[in-house]
Amino acid sequence: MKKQIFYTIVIILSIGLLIYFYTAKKEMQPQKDGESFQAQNQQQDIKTKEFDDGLYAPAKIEVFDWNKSTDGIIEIRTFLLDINGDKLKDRITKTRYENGTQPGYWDYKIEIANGNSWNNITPDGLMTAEGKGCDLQRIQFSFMPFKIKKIWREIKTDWDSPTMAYMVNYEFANGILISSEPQNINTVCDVKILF
Amino acid sequence: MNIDVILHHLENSGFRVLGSDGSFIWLEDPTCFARSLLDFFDVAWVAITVFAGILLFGWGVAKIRGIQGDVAKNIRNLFLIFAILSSSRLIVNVIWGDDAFTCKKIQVPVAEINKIIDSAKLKLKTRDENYLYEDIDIYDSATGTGMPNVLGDMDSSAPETPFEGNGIVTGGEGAGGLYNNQFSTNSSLEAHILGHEGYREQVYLDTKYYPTIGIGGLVTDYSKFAAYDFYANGVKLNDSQEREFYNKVMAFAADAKSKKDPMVKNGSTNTIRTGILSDGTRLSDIRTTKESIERQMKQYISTSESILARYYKGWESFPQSAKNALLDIAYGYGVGGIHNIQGLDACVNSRNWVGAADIATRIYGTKPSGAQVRRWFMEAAGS
Repeated sequence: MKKQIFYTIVIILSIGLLIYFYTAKKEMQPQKDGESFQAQNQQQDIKTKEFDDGLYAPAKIEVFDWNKSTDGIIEIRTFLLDINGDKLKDRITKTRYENGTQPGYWDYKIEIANGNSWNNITPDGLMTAEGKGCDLQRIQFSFMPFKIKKIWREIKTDWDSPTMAYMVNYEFANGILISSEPQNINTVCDVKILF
Repeated sequence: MNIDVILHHLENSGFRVLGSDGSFIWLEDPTCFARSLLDFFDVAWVAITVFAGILLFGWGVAKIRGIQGDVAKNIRNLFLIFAILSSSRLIVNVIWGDDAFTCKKIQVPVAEINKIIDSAKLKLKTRDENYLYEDIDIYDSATGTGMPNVLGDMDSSAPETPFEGNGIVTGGEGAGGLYNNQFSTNSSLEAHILGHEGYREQVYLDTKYYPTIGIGGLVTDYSKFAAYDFYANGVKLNDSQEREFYNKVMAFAADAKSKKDPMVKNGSTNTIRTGILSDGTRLSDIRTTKESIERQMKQYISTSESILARYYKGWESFPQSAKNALLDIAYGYGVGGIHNIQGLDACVNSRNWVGAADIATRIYGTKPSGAQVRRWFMEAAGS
């Protein structure tokens, strides 16, 4: 009889423990936070893969709300770097433009500090042209010595049809950026693969 | 609605109201497991008591008939079982260190409830109270199956397909000008874009699996999504609901992209069959409004114009028809991509609109929208 009582108590306590662990487990579940975190990560995948343009650690980032933007600028990143080796911080500004229907583009501006003001030395067309599948134009910076590589291709009939890609290099000399002769590289759709 | 009436309705609907003040109502979580368990115990306790009574009665009858047995022991065991059952909650609470049978509280803003009620009232106003046999929409709110199209009077212009509302739809020709009248267009450009792009009031995935809405509005981040007002079953989503919807849409798009969900060609439309989010909601169940789409259309044009004006010197002096043509090209090729169209920038910078018309012919091919772009350039050449 004592055994029966013991077993009864054990069964009831087991049920109690099961309830305890079940409710404790429910309390510990992170309530959808994991889901939204996952969604945010997946969102990164949807965006065009971030291309490494060689510019890191911006001194300033300004982000503008699409709903309030009237000029299409949604982000400005400012980099302060010594481009010409005169110990003065020069300035590279990249500005993101979007019109809402297609992926936008980065526009680059390069300015040399001369102690009192900034001297704009940006060559024409220093901007990206990004697509949903293939990019038409990309810019990459390297330092010591300062150099800019630009690879682009043109649309002949439609965006996704591969065309010949070209490359130019810009190097800093005598206070300005000197462009190399454009050279043919390869027929591609996405120019990112050529860097 | 008066808060007491709201509380009364909630209690009648089976909610356990824990309290309220002027701003919030606190309800017990209706999905609480502990509550289910306690409700079960309440019923089980009565059943056990009745069962024990029957046993006692049986033992009594057996004793009268002279059967041998220790009734006292049996009663003692029965008492022990009842005692342990009664103390089980106490035991669990001692282990837990708190009240394990407490359910979570849900805080509901009274203002939100009133909004929902007002919205429902507004919807009911459209019903004829004297017409007792009007159709009643019945749908499964969990799956969205059969849910009414709350903005049905402005259904999307992209071609309806057997897979309505479920998936990827390309923009482009074929949407037709049937829907132009639904927008108060104020320029030939808006009319043209609407005519060849059409619009969709629900989120869909384009051919590259990008979430898109309205007139080809690309959703790359939340701010572009939040630019639209969304409604589910006639009720406007609040900020947190819209954010949640956005997260689910992005997850859905990522999933479709990773699986490379196949597209089905249907006329001029590419689509996939599965347009169902992780919680069972169909993409077509949540829709934006004509006003939101119209607002974004205007923003697209003003933004594009502002960007192109920075690049093309003398933009202000361009003939309006040339501006329209370039804005339409920027619509399809982007404000960045337009400059990589072979020969176009050279033509624009030299005001060679005839050359630009030839380029339009080349890039648009046989697309009907190309004819209008070419006409605009030729019109600019003649001005």
